[in-house]
Amino acid sequence: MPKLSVWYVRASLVYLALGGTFGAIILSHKGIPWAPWAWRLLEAHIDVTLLGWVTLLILGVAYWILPRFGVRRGREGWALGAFISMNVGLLLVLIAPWFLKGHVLLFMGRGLEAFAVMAFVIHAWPRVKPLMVSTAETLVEAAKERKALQKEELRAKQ
Amino acid sequence: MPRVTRWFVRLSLLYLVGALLVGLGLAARQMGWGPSWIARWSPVYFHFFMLGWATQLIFGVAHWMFPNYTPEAPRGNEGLVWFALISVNVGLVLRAVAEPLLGRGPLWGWALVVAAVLQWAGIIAFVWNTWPRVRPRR
Repeated sequence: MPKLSVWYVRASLVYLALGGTFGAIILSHKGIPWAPWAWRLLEAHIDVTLLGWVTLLILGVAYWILPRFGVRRGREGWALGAFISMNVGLLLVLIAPWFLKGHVLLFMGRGLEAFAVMAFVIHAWPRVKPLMVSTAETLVEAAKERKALQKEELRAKQ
Repeated sequence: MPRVTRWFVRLSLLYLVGALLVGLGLAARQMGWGPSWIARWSPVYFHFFMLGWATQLIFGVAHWMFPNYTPEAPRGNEGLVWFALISVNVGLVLRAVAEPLLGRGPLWGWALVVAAVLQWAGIIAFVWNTWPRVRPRR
């Protein structure tokens, strides 16, 4: 699993725990009222569950398993941008109900979430393609790319 | 496919059917058919879809396909995953029963609290077991 997928999937698990906690607070309050602020969590519960949990998990796994270009995954910057944008957007939606001008934060959060999804589409679009047929030439090319990538990683570590 | 995965996947399929039937009941209620308590099942409809269907299907497949934890315990603590399966499902069914009966005595209010705790505990148990399996290639 590539590093960025690890971030995506781990973030999705955090959002699952968070969304489940919000849901449990709302549901228990519905049964026996104990937290008058519980309903303020509803927007965050929906966004965190649908986008944070399910969508980030799907995007993370898609980044991992969609067909690659040799050893590279194409427009990787867009996938990283999508991850950052989605997390900042979700954070804004989470904190929005606790501020007086919360609707502005909610709007900005939703904007960042929409941008994140578009950025990931830009990343993933060219990767939705038939698998490459391996010929001697493409195998040599892939080996060269892999070596170049390893050198890059080594240089970055040094 | 591990045994607990088979349970997750089969139950998720049943919830998909259940969600659509609840949706049908809600639509019928809007036409004036059926008892009035059906209208209170609206949150149950969404949660059958999201938790019963989508989340449980993901749980089952993730438990099966994610990178192994260790050679000795490739899928982590299986007991925790069985607990997640039982806890989430008992919680979800209890919610479906209690939600329309809310307001007919304190018992049903407390039933919702128990349902909330069970679903939450199941989710946390799954996250706890899955977390160490999400890691870069060694």
